[in-house]
Amino acid sequence: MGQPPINSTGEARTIPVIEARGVDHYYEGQGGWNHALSNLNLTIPHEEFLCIVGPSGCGKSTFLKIVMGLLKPMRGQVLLEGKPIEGPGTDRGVVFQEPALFAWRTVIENVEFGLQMQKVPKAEARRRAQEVLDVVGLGHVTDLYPYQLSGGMRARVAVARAWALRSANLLLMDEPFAAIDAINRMALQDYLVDTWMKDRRTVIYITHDIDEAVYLGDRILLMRPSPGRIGRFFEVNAPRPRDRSSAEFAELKGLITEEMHRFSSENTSIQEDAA
Amino acid sequence: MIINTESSLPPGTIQTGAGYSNPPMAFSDYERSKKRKEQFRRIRRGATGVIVVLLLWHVMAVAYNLQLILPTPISVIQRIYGMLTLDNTRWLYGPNVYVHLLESLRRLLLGFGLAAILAIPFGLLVGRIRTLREYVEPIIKSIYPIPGIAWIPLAILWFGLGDTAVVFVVFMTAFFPMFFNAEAGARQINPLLVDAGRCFGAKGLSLFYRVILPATVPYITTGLRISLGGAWKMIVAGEMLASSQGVGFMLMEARFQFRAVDLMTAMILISIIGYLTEYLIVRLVEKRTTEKWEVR
Repeated sequence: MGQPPINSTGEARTIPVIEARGVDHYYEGQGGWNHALSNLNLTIPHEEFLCIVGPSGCGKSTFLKIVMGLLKPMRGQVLLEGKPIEGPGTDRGVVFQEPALFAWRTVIENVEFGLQMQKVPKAEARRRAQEVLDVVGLGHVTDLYPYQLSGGMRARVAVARAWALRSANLLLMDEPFAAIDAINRMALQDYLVDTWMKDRRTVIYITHDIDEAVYLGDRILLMRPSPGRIGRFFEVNAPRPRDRSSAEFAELKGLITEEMHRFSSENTSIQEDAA
Repeated sequence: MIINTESSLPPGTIQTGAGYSNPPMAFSDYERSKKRKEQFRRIRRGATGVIVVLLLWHVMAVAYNLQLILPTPISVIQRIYGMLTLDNTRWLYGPNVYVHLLESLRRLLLGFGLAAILAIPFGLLVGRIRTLREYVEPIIKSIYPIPGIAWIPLAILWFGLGDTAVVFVVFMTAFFPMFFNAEAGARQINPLLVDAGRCFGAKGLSLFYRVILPATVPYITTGLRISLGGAWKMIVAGEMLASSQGVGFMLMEARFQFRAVDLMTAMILISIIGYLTEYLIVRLVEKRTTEKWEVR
């Protein structure tokens, strides 16, 4: 991210899409409170593809839930384009870990859902949904019901449903392809990169797969567990589509993996000290 | 598995593998004939059961000379035919049989329909809103164990002998299964679906109508089915005690007149109508909902 991103009218946008200030959150667990997020400060500029990786329990999903508006942090706040987040809304597109499609709606009706809630005229919603489904390669199955699709197709419908919202400048994805087998996952990642290149939005993408993070992200945030907090940022400058077999790719993957192991071994030693 | 290899091979291909060269028939034909056989077998077995019971019935009635209290199946069938074709010989029940049936159906639809309109939305709300649940749960749970029949005396006291009393007890019977099923359904919805609905802009009424209601449909149809069965039983009970029209009245009147044939005829009509209403109401809902979108 060398120069500041420019919006359609040509002026540089100075307000970041997301600004998290001192976010703290706890969960009630066995034997007390789990510190899920500790003093998290994070700024995400426009049109950045940010990948968040980290071991389970590092608070990455908690942070995303806060940005989705489904969870209020106990301390601190998150600003969405300068305004505090009050609840869920169509100014963000979301993709969950499971596709969470509506079983009673056909593929195209699922994609239209958000547009329908925004009272977009029917014909226009249909056109938009068809357009997005074409991009993710599902233009031919618009009238099927979700149970008739494969897992990979369902994941693509979930992505399309979020992407169809024109009002959403920010897309939030919580391991959307985690349940897909490795070969199909790569194809899905290519669809996602393609879609993003054609229609750039800010993306926060959570994954536990380092390979996926390096393939997709402009910037990678590695989080540290217990309590969940910022670990380290990595920039990825390689042009897309990226070459998974290149030396730089492998090097960066190795670096992140190493750092992650260092973080988790620090944690074990802390726990051993305490015991 | 049998594979039709012929269509997938390019023309002129010489087939070598001996086992694959000549399948007995195409897979789809094989499937279809298997299905037909199974269907035929099911019908045959079912019919055998029915015929055995009818035979036993006939033998009992004739052998012990019980025709007065156990008429033979043939005479019952003749009577059904006579009733439905309005053969009015020795007709002791006022208006013709269709008037009685329509009267019972009207009460059923009124009591059951009112119960459905109130119980389903109310059940969904109670299932989703904890505060409301805490307010109404004790009162609902204390009324529920009172059987529908136990409401009949009070209903007669309140509304007098007649229509309203019957509709009231039908309502009381039909309400609870639909309420409890809608409530349970609304409580077990995958929270992720509700989150998805909210994130894509649904809230309040639109969330209920667009997400919670359709996600609960399988539970709702179960509730409809149980309620409808209960309501139909309660119609008969209510009419036996509190009405001078309807199939329940016919039953009771046939006993007073010591007409076992008419009594059994009315019972069989009750069975047929009960089956038809279930088919028309519940199956219709299912065909338009879960059968379209659920894995078969």
